[in-house]
Amino acid sequence: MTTLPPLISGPTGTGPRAVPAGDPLIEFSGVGKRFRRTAGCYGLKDWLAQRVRRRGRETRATGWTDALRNVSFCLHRGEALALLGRNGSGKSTVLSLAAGVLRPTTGRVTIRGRVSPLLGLGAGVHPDLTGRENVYLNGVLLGLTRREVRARFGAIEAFAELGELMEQPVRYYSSGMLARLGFSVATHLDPELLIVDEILAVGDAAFQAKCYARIAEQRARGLTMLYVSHEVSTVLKLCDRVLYLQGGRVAAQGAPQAVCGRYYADQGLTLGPATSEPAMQGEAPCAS
Amino acid sequence: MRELLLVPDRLPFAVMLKHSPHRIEHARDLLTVLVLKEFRVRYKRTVLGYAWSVLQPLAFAVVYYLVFRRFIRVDTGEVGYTLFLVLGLFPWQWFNNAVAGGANALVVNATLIKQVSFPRVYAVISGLLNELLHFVLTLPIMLLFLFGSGGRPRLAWLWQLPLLLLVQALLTLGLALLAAAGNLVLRDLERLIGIGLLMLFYLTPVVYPPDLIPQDLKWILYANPMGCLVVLWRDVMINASVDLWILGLAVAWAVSAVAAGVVVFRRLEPRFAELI
Repeated sequence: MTTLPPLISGPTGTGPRAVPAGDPLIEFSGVGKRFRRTAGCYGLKDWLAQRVRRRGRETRATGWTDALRNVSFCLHRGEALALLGRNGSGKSTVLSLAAGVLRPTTGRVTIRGRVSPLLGLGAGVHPDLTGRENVYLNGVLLGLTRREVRARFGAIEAFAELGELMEQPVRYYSSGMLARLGFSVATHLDPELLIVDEILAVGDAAFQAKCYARIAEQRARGLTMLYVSHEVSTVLKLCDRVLYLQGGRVAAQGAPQAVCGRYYADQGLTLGPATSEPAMQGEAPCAS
Repeated sequence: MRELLLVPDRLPFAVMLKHSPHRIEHARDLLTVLVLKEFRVRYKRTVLGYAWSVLQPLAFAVVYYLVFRRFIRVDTGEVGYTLFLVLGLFPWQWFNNAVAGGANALVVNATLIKQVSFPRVYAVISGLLNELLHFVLTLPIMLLFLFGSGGRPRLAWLWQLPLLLLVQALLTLGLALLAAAGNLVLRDLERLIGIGLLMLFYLTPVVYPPDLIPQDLKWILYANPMGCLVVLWRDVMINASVDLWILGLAVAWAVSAVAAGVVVFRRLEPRFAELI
């Protein structure tokens, strides 16, 4: 339906691609990430307090939280990896590290090739710009030139089906429309890595179906994907492998069916074996 | 051990060179979209839009004229007070907005910085380019006042004006980088900078001529980079003359500001996403 160049070695040249295809696109080895426990930045008051009782007890500002501990995994080219885990288990931290936004505290993150994905769909969207301007902003932030974005604009516009709204400030969009714009941009700008962070749930059924079709189409052409969703059914449908995080550690990784089953079991739920829909019978039974 | 390998930076030189036209085009486009965004966001839903950047200093000019010329009777010699004021006020306004905006440049773009890994320096530079653009657009107004009071265009401006633009642009770049990075570590810096700029305004000969400063306190003028620059701007506009000593001071200030700014910014850059 589009006449875009192939994803991995496009003649439009979205940056140097001299990396052998065999190496993993992203490699985490023994990665740990620690955050300061207070909001991250701290004010003059805290700073002075720290100076005054330097040798004293731990102050508020000196506490640390380990968001990730010793996480190792590989994401190969063309692979779709799902991150699974309860809220606060470190999924977002993994995404930020993979996107090159955060640096690891310990261990090593290797990012090969031009990976500057938008973290989550609609990440770089500014409410005061129109849909069109946001497409350009996102595209250029992702590493394309304006010319390259222009070449893809028609396809993006057609996919998003926003009509007149494309020329309106994004401020006036509903969350569903925002998801439409974000998804269209993210999947049409030839990312080497697509990060989908539970956003598809917002779109209507028809658009969701279209998105899954688009992902499948792009995956067939070699797109690498990091997928975060609590909807296990879509994980089973879209991903080759699952990484299950628990309290910042890798609890399990491997085939989707097995790892998803474990994830459900840990929460006292069961995963329906035949259908890809989770079997949830009323209240979650208590594990005894 | 702390490491992030970004393989493209380790590519053979030949490959880098082949892609450099793309890189340059991309850098230019990145600045364009960010400057445009900044411009759009600043004037969102305002009726007068860009005119505000002229109206604001002009409104202040009226008050300063009343207070310093009519009430306090500051004497600026042969140069009319209005012209004298305007020639100092517009460059000051540029400096003030650039530094104050610099402190906010990263905070304002927090969502982008947390979610996309583009070179962060562009967030600061795009803000500065916007301020530079605004100043260049107000230059005709300075000239209007100048020609209105009998001044005339000079040939020497061809090198003097770009030179002053460059020196002040470098100065604001250095200070904005410092302010932007520092403000993430210590959020109080934004307030401190606001206070500092107001104090500096009164220490800068914008509303009074520099010869009102007593000889033993003259160092305050030279210790202030904007003091030097305001003197230079007036001299160039009115007489097309440049005091080389003061120019040297201004250049030294600008270069040290850029050096300090780049060092601090690069040092803190990897931690921006978690500090913000």
